[in-house]
Amino acid sequence: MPRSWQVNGPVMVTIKFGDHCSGICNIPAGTRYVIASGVTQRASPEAPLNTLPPPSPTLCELGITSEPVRITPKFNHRPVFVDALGPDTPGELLWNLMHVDIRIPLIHYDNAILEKCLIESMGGDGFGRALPTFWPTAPAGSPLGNGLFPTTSGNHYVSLTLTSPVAANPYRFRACYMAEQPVELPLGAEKSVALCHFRAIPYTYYSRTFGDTTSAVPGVPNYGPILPSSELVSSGLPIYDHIADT
Amino acid sequence: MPRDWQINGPALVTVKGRSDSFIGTLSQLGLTSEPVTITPVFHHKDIRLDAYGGMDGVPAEVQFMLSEVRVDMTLIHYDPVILDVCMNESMGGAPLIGQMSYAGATLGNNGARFAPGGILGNHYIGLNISSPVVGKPYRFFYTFLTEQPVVIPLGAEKSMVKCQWRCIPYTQDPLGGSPSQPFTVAGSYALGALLWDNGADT
Repeated sequence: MPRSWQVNGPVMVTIKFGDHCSGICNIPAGTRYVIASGVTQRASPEAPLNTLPPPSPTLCELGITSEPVRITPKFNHRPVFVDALGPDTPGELLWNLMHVDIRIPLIHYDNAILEKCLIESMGGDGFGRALPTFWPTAPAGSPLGNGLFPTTSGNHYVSLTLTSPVAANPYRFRACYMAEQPVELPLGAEKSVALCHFRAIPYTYYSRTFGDTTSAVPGVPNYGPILPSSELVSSGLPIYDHIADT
Repeated sequence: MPRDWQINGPALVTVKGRSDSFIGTLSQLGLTSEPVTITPVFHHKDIRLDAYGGMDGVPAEVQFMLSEVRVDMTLIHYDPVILDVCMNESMGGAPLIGQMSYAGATLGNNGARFAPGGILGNHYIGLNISSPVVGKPYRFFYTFLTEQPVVIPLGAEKSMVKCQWRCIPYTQDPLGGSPSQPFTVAGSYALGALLWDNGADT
């Protein structure tokens, strides 16, 4: 790929919730998504409706940004010191995975979807209200993923997609939550630009084992069913890809 | 088209606004004492790189960041009631002439062009400038009186009112494809948005 100016184009931030949020979708009825020049984008109303199936009922448009979205990976390396090399310079580094911080300044956005992102990041609304009138919190210590596959019912991580209409290189972070200071919301006469802080982690579900396949043939590796109590394995975990949610 | 003297002819300014306002139908604002001045303002953003001199050099590429239009005119034979309504709409569409809407009020209110709704309707004004000689009228879709919107001399002599209009590419949905921007496509943002054309409101 030759070098060139890297222009992403205006970003639409979409969120895909777990299936327990299926009543929240704000995509207009009749909207379809098409893949044009490798870019997944909303089809015009005149486009044939059978181009793609309807979007997922848990897919929502969060909003459009006032400034560029900032994606900041954070690598974790643990140094290994040996006496022979002295106390300051490591002789080896251990890779200890990463997370990604995504900072989004939203200016034209759906406030209900933003609040739902906050609630899901607080462990979800365990009381089953469709539209809570306040921000409930789950009990301290509540896991967000609950050992479930991403976007299944009960998994409170959200899948966040940043569209790329010019560069055709969208970013999708499969397991995100709103972290630390999740949002800074100015309220006043002027329009509100919500500064949002999402974090993506390499989440995996409990039942995954190394290789993640089963074999019915004795003696072949991974023979037998996947056990739900298998330990977490970090090899090959995806943290992002370039396929937009639909 | 061969080159020629470009003579617009005397320009009649007509306006059309929110359908439940006094200018809900096409209304004559007036005739001008001097030519109407149309000034497009293009916005380009430089892409600078060290190899081209950095911030002190010249850009190697620019990005088009949309544009707007300024329209200046001096009205001499005009309808003051229509002018009052245009000012009122540009101030957010409060019920009374000379009255302001609240600070932070949007002019479009997510409505289609000319959408009714009182103070919550679409307050952008369609500004039309006729062209009886060369036959190339201008229609600016989403305009409002801006900055020092009018300068009105009051005295014994006739009043010639200077008006400053601003035209922007308003849209209901910045994602594109909404009814108020018929030439845009959903998902294409500002691509295709119209600032003006050579038609006329009816």
